[in-house]
Amino acid sequence: MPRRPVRQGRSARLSDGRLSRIDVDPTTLESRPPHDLLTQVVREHRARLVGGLARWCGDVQLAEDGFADAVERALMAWPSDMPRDPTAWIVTTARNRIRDILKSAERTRTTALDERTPHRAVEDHYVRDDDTLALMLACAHPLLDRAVHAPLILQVVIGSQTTDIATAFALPSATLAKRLVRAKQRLRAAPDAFEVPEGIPTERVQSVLDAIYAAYSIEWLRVAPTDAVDLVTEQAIHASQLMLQALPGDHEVRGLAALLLYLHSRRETRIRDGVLVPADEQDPAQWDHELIRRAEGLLRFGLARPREGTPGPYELQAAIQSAHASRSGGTQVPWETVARLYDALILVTPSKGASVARAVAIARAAEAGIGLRILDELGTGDASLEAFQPFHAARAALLRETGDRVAADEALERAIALCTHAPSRRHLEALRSR
Amino acid sequence: MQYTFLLYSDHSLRGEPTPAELEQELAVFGAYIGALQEAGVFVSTDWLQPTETAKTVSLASGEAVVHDGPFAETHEQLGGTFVINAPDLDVALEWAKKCPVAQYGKVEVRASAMEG
Repeated sequence: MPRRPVRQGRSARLSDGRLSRIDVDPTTLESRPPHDLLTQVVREHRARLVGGLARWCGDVQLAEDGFADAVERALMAWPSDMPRDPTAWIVTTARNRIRDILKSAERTRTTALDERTPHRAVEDHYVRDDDTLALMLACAHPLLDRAVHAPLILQVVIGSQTTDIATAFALPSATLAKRLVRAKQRLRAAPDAFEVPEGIPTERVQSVLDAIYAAYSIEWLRVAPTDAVDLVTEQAIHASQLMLQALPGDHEVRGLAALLLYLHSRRETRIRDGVLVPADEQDPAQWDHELIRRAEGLLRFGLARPREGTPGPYELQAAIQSAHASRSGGTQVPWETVARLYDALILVTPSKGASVARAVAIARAAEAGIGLRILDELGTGDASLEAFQPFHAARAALLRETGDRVAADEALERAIALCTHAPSRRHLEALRSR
Repeated sequence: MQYTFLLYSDHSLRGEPTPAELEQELAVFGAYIGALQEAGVFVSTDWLQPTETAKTVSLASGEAVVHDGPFAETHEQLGGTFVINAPDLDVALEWAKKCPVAQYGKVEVRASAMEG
């Protein structure tokens, strides 16, 4: 087990004012029951604390074990002896635990521990501003399989149970547990796994955002028990908010945070009695207007800022959702704008889903026949659309509007046959008799 | 048209599951089976004992020979099957992609030769 000492150079660089203590308002400490405070520390600061510990000892698993042990000790100790700085207490206790684990590991080894003992230079600075970011970037490190990025973020950064993640991702928990262990071993062996590179490469941030988006979208990617999926969805929102705190100036980070808030604002209305309700058939009064307001704020702030190049995929998708949300203000969806946003999205990240949605937006802005022609051209150019459910669902809707009921019914049956998502399928089936 | 999914995965990586692990695995496969049933495509599924328990019988050399173990020693072993009724291969493949085993093993999709 190679332990990587924190390098002198790094800690020197970090002592230039980028270090900070975590804010827990001391004036509230006296009046707060210890368990509430502990819950708050765990909920709000877990990512930074585990990140700081992982950077300190070079090992995510050790950091998590140390953190869990410290929380357990806090449960016992705090009611009778409340620390003045609770997060410092957690970090110190966790570090002591990690040292103990390393020492007992040393007894069973022949090599000296010197090389692996955490470096004392960072002792005073128990947490750094970019510890959450460092942990996020490590979890979506290019050394790891893409498929493990999202589960790793959920487990390590958010603190989700392996069983819950496994169930949402439709995996046996033992299989996921092994994958997570392997991923952590790889990070432990990588010399720069917990570094935050200067001028973070776009693709490193993109990997984190993709993982969070995959976690949020898990219900479309797997067939899994609903409770576990709902839990992971909430946690993905939390993860996107943590990224927003860590990199508030990044357009795509803001874009993803806004996108997820828009989607989440419709969580209560998008499925009724197990049947999917398309966004434009939902009652906007039932949407979560607070989330929409926050999403609008993020999106507008981003659009007002100077930028290099064109908007990225998450910002564009957020803008598309913003257009759908305009119904909550009593205005119609601006379909021409939506169509242009899909044009831009397809330029940045081509996908079948975006191409089909673009055709529908054009149909809504102009007329069904035009959208239908675009769909048919798409179908001729890409044979794989034959097996793409949304393509047939869109054709069915537009064919119906043009009055071709026979062809519409045929397309609808095709969409139903290809649909593996139960609420969508029930929605399509209900269309048969409409 | 009937399609059989042959489920291959590496069983050497898996120890004896704990009761909690078994329950979780049943929940995951239960959700999949439930979705197949609701869509009206489910025909049957079977789960096989590990390949160590297999016996292989052949009379090809002229007399009956019974081997201990599987016919082929492979890294990934046949652990079970799903049989579904789908209108065509595209639909069968959509369901195979959603099969939990596809995430950690291989799902071989074979059309029945008995009909159509």
